[in-house]
Amino acid sequence: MMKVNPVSVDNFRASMKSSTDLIDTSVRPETQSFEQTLLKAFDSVNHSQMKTETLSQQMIVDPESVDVHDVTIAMAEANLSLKIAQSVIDRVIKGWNDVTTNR
Amino acid sequence: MNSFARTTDLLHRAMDASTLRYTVTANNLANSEVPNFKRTVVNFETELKRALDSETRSAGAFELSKTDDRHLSADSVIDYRTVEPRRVLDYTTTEKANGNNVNPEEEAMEILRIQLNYQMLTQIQSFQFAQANSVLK
Amino acid sequence: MGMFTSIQIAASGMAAERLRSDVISDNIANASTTRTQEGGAFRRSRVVLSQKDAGMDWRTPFIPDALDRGVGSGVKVSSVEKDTADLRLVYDPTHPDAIQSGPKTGYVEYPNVNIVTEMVDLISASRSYEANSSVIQGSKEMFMKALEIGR
Repeated sequence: MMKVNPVSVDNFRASMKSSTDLIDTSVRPETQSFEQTLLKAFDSVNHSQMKTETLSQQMIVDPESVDVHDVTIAMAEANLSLKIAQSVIDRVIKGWNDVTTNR
Repeated sequence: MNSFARTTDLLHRAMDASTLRYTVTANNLANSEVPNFKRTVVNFETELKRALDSETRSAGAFELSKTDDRHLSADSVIDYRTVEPRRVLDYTTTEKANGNNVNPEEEAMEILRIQLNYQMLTQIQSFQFAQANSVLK
Repeated sequence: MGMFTSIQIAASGMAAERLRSDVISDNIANASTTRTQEGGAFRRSRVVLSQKDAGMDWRTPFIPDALDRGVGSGVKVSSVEKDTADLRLVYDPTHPDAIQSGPKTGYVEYPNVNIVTEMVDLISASRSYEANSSVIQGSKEMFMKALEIGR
């Protein structure tokens, strides 16, 4: 005669792990950092704009203390980071609209 | 005033000073053979620097206590909008035997420098407006 | 360094070379002058050029490394001096400026100007002037190229 182990309902559930149990649905730290990443990006855009302003002011009052390529590179950098930020915002908003209107 | 308007205003004033300096230098160059002619220079940048530095004086700087409005104070903020370009006659040096103190190479170099400076200023000014426009689109 | 320092340095070089060519043309013009205001024959002049420091002359060996920019600020003319070499003597007793007495009686003192040397110096001054002018052109082009970065 075969020995049958007594199986209770809880043990049964524990022994029947399905694939959906492997998905971890707890709130992880990475989902918060999207907002932080966005804020950090805006900070860096603002920082590059401020850098252009200080360099321009320094160039006005003391033309010998700053090189011309410093000023033009800072201007190009500020322009580019502003355009990138605008493009990112446009796409985020479009994606959000797509997600919410496709219910 | 906000940072954009302030930078635009500063650039505008610097361009005004540049055009004045250009006229003054052209006058110097034209009079480079006139006996007893003394060259003129324009002072603007150093005074502007003084006014701008007075706005950011540190908190622990030298202070004078005042008990009357007429007392002098050491921490007054100079408004940079009151700074005007001034023409100053340089009468102390002599370059040639006829009393003239114009050095043509130096004046020609100054003309070139003013042109490059002016181009730089217009470039920054157009950059400012382009930034503002691209945000408004 | 700044945007315009190289232009100022080249301009000081041009001014110095122009003064040098002025002195050379004066020498050539007076190559046969036997009578001057100081008495005696004309002596050729020489220009002494020295490096223009940023104002700190006697303190130059003691500048700390942080303040030492490593590069000067151009050239300046120290002095215009007379050459003390011997004058050229030509025997010509009937000349109004002939020496009347002493061991050199009958000789006329002519200036110690050698035309060939002066012409070579003039060519060298002219080439230096052109070289400084090219430096200014090059600086201007570098500046315009840098302005195109932000355009």
